[in-house]
Amino acid sequence: MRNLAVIMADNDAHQHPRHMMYAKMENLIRCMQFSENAIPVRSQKLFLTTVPDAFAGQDLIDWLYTKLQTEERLHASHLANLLCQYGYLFPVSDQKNLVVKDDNTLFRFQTPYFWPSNNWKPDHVDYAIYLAKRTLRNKQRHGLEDFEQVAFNKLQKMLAHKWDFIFMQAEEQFKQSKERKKADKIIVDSQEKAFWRVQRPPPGQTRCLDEAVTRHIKPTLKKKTVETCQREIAFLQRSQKRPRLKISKAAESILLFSEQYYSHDPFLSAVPPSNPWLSDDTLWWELNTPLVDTPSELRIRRWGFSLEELLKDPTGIAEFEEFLKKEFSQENLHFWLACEEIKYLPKSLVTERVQAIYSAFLAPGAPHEVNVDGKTYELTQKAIENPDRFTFDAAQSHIFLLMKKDSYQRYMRSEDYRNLLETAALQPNARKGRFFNFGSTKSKKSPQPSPGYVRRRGSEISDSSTSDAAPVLGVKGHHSYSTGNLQSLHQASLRWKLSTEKVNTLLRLEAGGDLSKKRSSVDSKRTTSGTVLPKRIEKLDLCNSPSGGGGGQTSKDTLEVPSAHGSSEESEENPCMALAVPSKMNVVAPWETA
Amino acid sequence: MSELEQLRQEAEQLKNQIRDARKNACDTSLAQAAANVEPVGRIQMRTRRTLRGHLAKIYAMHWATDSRNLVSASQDGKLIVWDGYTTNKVHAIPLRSSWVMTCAYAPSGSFVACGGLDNICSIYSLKTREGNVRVTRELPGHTGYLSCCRFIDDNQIVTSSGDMTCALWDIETGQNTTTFAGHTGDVMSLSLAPDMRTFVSGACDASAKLWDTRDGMCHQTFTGHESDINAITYFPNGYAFATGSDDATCRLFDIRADQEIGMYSHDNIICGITSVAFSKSGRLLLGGYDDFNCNVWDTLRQDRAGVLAGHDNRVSCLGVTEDGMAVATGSWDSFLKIWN
Repeated sequence: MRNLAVIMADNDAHQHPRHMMYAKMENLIRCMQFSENAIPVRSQKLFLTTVPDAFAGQDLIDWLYTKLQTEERLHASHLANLLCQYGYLFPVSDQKNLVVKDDNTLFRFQTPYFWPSNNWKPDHVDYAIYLAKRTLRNKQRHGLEDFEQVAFNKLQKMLAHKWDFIFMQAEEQFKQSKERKKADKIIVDSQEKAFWRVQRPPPGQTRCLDEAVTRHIKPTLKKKTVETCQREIAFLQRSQKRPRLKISKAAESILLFSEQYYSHDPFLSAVPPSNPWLSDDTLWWELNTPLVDTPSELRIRRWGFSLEELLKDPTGIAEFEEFLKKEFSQENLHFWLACEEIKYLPKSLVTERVQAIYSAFLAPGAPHEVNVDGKTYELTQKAIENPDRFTFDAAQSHIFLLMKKDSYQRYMRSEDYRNLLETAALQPNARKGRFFNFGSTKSKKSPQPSPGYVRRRGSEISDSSTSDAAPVLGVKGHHSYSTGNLQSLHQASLRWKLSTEKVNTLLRLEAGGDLSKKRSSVDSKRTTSGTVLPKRIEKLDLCNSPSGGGGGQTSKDTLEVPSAHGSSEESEENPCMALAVPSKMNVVAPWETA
Repeated sequence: MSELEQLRQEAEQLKNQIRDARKNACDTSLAQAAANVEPVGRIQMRTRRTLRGHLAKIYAMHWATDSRNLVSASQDGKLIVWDGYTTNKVHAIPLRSSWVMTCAYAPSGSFVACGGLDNICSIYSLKTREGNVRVTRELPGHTGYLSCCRFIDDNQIVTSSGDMTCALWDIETGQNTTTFAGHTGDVMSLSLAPDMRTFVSGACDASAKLWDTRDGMCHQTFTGHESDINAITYFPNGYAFATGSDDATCRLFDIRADQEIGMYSHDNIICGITSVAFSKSGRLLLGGYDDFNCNVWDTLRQDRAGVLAGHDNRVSCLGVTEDGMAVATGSWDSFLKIWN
């Protein structure tokens, strides 16, 4: 056989993503064969023949089980199978299925010459030579399988121009093999066959050696310039100054979190009403849509874990807002929502929105003035000179902390919150009346429970009335082919839309005009109230970049952007509609050699 | 002494100081701290759904935020949006380039993105007025393959690439807003923090980096792995993250302690990890392996709690739903399985 083994340099070794795994496998294989407690390999009697150089599958699994102290024999068996599939050992008889059975089935070790770590990449010519050689030999013992015959025929056509060379090589190898002793011949033949079984598996069998894209690492720069050193030092200085939390504290925080959420983790606790994937009942999803009139108990409890958790849940926000309205302190929440929302706005709308938020919440005499300390106010004033999504970061953090220390704490201790918990959906003693009450949330205070309908956790819901009455929110989903509940997806986008509308309402009230006329009304407001605002901000025209150039961008180290593709709206000629696209079978990626 | 020499010495000194600072913070180990925690016991999951339809290796999948729909990308050149619950195919999107390596579902559910060897991140709108699915934006700019992409919202997406950089894009304008350069190897995976202000990336240089989405700076670098990092994911509280690597280990890094605090490996696990995900409480760490299995680790006690066996080829991608109800695995055997 032509020597195709590639000796790998360090770099190449890296490009072979499995090199670590192969090293570990080879270590095991060597131990198996040469260590003190090696697997007994010898000539085994099989029916009427003698099989040289073989060992039993059972012995292999035993050895792995003992050596690696696996928890179960199953894991040792899995590893044995892996070794087989990568070609380090093979079954003597049935080569089609590379499976290691935990019994007396015989196996043989592959010779190191054929190990996958040698980075074999045999091509069609090699395969053709191998198959041709087999056709020259005893048909009974070496005849081609059906799939091999098919491949052989194809290769003959494909490589017709080289066939003389191929045949010559095959004959040469055949001659060489005749000179070997019989026992050796059997072993060598089986090893070569096993090699090809792994490289060119029969149809329907997995090819273990398939790899993904080739990867690269940049070799460490030998020459360091003054500049790179300075940059490195800057980074290291920042890193050195950073306070580091003790691992005991870090571990504690992770432990606490896991513990807190344990009962909310469906993999660990039964979460009511039931797991839809198991019970075929979608009540869980219906109850947990972003906006719901009667949130579940677990959900309400989560709001108590932290203010962050509450603010992640649109229902939580809605309930919290109701509470704050009573105390007339809802501007903090509205401000926080506006600041969050601006982070997800299209870039073109950001500048205007910054102005609007400032006017509504921060300008002196603003209609929904929030209280920030002097320093934060100064920082914000400065930041407004260059408006972007994060202009209000400092102010937002400040308000968040205020809410966290003050109103959030009070909400958690409030009657409103406690009532919510009591009347939540899916409690062990859920009251049927409460559960089906989609009326105004204010009715939560009414105390009369209806008599004893007890819903057991995790039970299947067979009562037909429950399915009809599940809280539907009258939001029509977009039409699609899904039979699933797309409402919740729609509501996720509703979440921000809701706050947008709120913010818009607030801003509209204040400016007395609609948002598109914001600039002029803001100006007029300024002049009338005599507010001192920093210099007029030029509106950055970010939408019109026809040539895809990076003009006016604040990006760092912009990657080279080739001329933009025509905007999809106009030039889209092939909408991705067709569900009846002819399928591609047996696709091979460019990085996998055929 | 030349300026270069001086700078080098200064750098060395700083590195030593940092190493000492990290050691000082290392007053215990996660395993020790969790010694008294109740073991989770045996985690046995079964396949609840098998999604058949792809005709070639599946390279990536991503759940939608409704915990029911998911998108998967396969070498057969298709992106399929499934309703996991009914196993219906909601959309089957033929791609311009079939060498796709990653896909993502926007949090709003209105868009999906994908990319691969074409170096381009393509954004598809699922909710067009006409009712069909089409490309709304193509984001060229990377000079290497696209290995991972994640939406911040309908307007912004972060991508990682084989050109050793990550990038933040403004989808509306199609511009690359920020580039995150610093890795010295192909960046294979990224994960957005729960608050989306930062993200972590894992690369072939065996390091993970924490980036600030706002200013493009790398705030921290985490080393420890011995080979390519293939997968990375944040712990649900946002203060730690887990990585999976070709060195057959998963590791937990704490951001505030600035170092590795846990490792998940066993002598009999020798195959690389392709994908990782946490359960809702973070107590379980699931990893998809090259050896066709998915292992479930107890994050705190660092032992293996269970195995998901059922695929006939490498598990290439894995994801836990947002509500924590199920985990989906995608494999080179062309099937997706949903387990719990």
